Amino acid sequence: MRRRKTVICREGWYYLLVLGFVALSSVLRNVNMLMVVSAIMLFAFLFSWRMAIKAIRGVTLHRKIPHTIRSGDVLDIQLELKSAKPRSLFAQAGSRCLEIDETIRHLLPKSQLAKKTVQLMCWYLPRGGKETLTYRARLLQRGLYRIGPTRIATGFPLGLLRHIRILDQGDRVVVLPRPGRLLPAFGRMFAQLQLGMRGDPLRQDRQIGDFHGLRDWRDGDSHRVIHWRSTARRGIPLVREFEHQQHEELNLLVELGSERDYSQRAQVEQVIRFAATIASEFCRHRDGILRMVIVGAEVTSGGGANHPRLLEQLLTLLATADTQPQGIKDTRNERAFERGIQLLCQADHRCRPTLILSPYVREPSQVTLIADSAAATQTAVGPIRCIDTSSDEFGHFFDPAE
Amino acid sequence: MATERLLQLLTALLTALGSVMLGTSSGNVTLPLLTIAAATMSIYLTDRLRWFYLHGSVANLAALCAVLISIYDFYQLERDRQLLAIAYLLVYLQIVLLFQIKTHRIYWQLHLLSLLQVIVATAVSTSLGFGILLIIYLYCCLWTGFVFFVVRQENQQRDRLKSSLPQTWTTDVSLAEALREQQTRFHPRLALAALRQAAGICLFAFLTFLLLPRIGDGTSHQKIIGTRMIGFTDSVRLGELGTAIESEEPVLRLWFFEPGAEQAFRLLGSPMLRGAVVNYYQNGTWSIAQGQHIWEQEIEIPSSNAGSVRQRIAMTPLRERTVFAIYPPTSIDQQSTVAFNLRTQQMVRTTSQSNPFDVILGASGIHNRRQTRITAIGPTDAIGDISLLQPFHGAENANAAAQRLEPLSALAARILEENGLTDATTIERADALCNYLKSSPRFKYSLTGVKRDPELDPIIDFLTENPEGHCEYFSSALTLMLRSVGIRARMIIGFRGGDWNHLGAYYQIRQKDAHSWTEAYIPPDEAQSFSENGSLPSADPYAYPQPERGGWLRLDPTPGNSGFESQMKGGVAWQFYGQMRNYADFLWTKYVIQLDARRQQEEIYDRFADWAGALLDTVVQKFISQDRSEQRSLESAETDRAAPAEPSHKTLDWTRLSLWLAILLSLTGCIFLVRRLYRAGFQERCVTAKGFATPPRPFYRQWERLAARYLARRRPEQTAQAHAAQMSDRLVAYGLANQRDIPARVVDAHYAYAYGGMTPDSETEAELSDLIVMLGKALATRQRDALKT
Repeated sequence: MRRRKTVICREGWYYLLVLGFVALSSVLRNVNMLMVVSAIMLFAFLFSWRMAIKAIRGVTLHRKIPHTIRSGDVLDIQLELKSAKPRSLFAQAGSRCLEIDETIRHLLPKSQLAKKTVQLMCWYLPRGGKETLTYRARLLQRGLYRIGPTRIATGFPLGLLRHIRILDQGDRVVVLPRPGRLLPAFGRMFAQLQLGMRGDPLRQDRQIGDFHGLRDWRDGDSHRVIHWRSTARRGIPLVREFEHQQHEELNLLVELGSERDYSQRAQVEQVIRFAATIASEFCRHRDGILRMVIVGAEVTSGGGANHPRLLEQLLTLLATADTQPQGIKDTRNERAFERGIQLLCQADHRCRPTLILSPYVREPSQVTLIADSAAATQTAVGPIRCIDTSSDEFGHFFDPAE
Repeated sequence: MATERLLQLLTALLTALGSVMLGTSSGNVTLPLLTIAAATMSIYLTDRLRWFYLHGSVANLAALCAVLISIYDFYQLERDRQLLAIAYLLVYLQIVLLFQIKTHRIYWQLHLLSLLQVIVATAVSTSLGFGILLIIYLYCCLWTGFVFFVVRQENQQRDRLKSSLPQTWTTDVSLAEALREQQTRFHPRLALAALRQAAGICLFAFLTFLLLPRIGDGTSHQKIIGTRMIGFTDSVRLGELGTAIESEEPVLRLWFFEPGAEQAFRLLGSPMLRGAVVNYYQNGTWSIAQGQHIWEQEIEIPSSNAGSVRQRIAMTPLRERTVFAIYPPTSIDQQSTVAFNLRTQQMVRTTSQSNPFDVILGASGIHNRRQTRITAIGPTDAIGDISLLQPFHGAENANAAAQRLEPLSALAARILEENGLTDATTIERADALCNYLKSSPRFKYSLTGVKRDPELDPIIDFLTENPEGHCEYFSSALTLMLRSVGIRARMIIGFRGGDWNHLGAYYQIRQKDAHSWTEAYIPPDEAQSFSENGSLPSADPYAYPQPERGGWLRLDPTPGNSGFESQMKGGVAWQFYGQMRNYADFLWTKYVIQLDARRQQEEIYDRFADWAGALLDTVVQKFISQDRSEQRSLESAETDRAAPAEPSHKTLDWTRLSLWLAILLSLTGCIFLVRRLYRAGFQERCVTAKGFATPPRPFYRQWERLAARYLARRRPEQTAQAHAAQMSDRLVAYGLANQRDIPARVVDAHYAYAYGGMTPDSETEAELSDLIVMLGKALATRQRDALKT
């Protein structure tokens, strides 16, 4: 892409046609006055070209823009045009009629590539001064956007030709999916998941909390929490007890499948928004660990302990997630799913309650098998709950309205 | 809307100006007036009030009618004016367009039609006034172009605003805010910018025109529509009523050069340029005598050596072929562009009348910077022709015409008798009759027509009843009086006087300088005695050894203009203005209208080479080889004494040329080097690599420390503002969105101090410092929480 170029407009071509005719006749007929007129016309054209070039030379652009924004929010984009200070006595007083074309390009997800050009006008930019232009955009779809590159052009003064220059490479904005509202059914389901995790004796020692005391052993308690020294002393099994804390862990696997798995394209967005809502709620209220794997066109993962950037990281993953392209074989879908499970069953993330959002019917036992085979050990995963996102069950947990 | 109104005004002005230029060049007054009226009405009725406008179909019909009218005109006009029919079509179409609702397309068409009119006008016009109009037109054109461009942009922007209303695509872009911030605050500056552009364009265009080498032989094919001469005709009709017109229209310029000199001189007395010779009088009308055996034959004018006075005649295009000159003329060049016509006894041009004419001839009739009273007999003069005595050539003077002129004969005889010159020489008798008409208080010079008695011959009426008239009456009366006393005489029509221009050292002859006088034939014996007194140079081809042919005595009986200096009206300033204008017109003609390859070589390239050579000589001799030049001058002085001087020949000195080129290249290199150094220094000053020109304030140092500790240190290539923007984003990410403005505030205050020279007051500094401390605490808390987690 050429960063600067000059284009002769249609009017310019007409003008050159007349100029050529006059110049040719003046030379052929040797009419001096026509030569004068053709010279004047030629220099009017050349001066117009020079003015257009000089008007844009030394102009720089600085764009003020947030890095992330939620879909549907108003995005104020502020452009600050600066002109270099004049170095010549014959420099123009300022640049006039600068056309500024900003391109807003939807880069990701790739299935929604689109472009829109915003055309602004700076009527006068004094030499050595600056001018601020602001426009407002409302980006309705999640994804990765590029604002720019900005193309600045002018045809001033006569409009016979246009000099165009590309000022910058553009800035990126991530439009995060807009969260909805989790319904009480989801809360109950989530509590069950967490309880299931605590009921697991093997998981008991992983509870994070201060040591509270000793109690008698009960069925279901893990062998690992038995305090052997006190047991030996007392003669009955005793187990350690810890203070209960609001510490929750969750492995969230979002399988998007392909578009044909959904009756409407909007359903994919609903799934994304559902996942985004879960992540938002988790990061906002809970102190815990959230691990998210997205199985779509690509298998991506992220997460960890709750920290200020966690939510942005997860929402960015969701913003750029895309369904698998159509025509992909089912085996490949399965492989992607296995890959996602593998990511969840890494050593640090095993045994957590796992929530799977999938358009396919996934049986927990089947998922367990896949997880076990991936981890090469048994009991690799904690309690598993699958939500079929292509069915009505999905609507019991999530309300898209804020 | 104000911009569009301005555009409407400028477009109307442009169209009117184009039509005026066309009318000026074609001599048509109606069309410019019509266009001006149409432009004015269209502004008010069509553009402003919208009371009257043409719909598309009506406009098309009107345009069709205009085309038909123009086709009719095309076939009605003369061949050399057919181009104007096309130009008039442009005017008609323009008027039709003026009364349509103005859209971009209509504006474009109006501007294009105006431009085409100017191009047509340029093809047929040559005057300086037209050149000035062209510059004014250029300025208006640029201004209109500027405003038109702005109007187009405004309309486009308005359309964008309409089209950018909420859409269902991914973005919903609102430009209302951006538009609201825009102000069209540069309209008054457009006129100034256009003026600057016009000046630059004119300068460069003129330089290009002068320096661009011409191709071809330089013969202009410009269709100049020659003007008919008002004051000059080759026949005279007396007794007509009406006032004679004194036109200021220039006819020719006239220079006189001494033999071998390049500097023109001013003639002592007024030059009298002969044009037509009329010698047949009948019933108040003078005409050229129609000889029986004389055809329209042209003969070459005699040639002379370079030792005679030269006269240069530069004529504007006229419809007549007659060339006016000091008689008798001689040819200097081998290929002369003039010849004598045997029938009319006039000198005529052999080139086309539509082209400007410039010729240098010898002038035998000038001696000691004064035009001689007696001129030699020319090759076309038939001195034995009885028409020179007509109508008194009859044996008994009994013909009817002579009887009708009986009072004139009696008067002439009485004058001679009263002066005792009945038997005097021809010159004495002719002078006596001339002096009678010139000095008698009875006769009065007047350009106003006088009612004559139809029963009498106009000359008899002039001499007896109404002694008032213009030069033709005086010269006619003298010619007939001379003939009545037996002196062969003829009436001459030409130009006399003219305005002497000090700046250009030439005479400007205008149409108002048209004049008539009388020439009386002097027998050989009297002419020879006059020549022996030194009137005629012996080297002249008209002079002796053909003394037997006699000569012509020039007699001007018209009173009131003996000195015949141009009586300039107004004061000295007005005279100076007139001369300046005339000289500018001369320069315009010389360097623009008649600039061909030969003149370009002589007047521009050679002169430029001379200047460069002189400059080189000065530089080289002064700074490099002063000693050598002194030595050379000494040697040359010795050589001069030893040998006669030879004409010097200029040759190209390659050494000097190379030296000059080297100097030029070095200078160019130095300029570029200085420019580069200056720019490098400028950039260094603008972007300090490290630190600041002035030490930062404490609050900014505090901010930098805080950022380095909790957020991120500013990278060297990062500006403070960019760093602040980055930090704001981080604060948002850390959940401190309510404090995201702090970095920008701190940096803005810092910029205002460091680059704007505005020291923040103590309250602002304290506030900023508190904000930074508060932010530090918040960040520390967040960091602690994160570590705990």
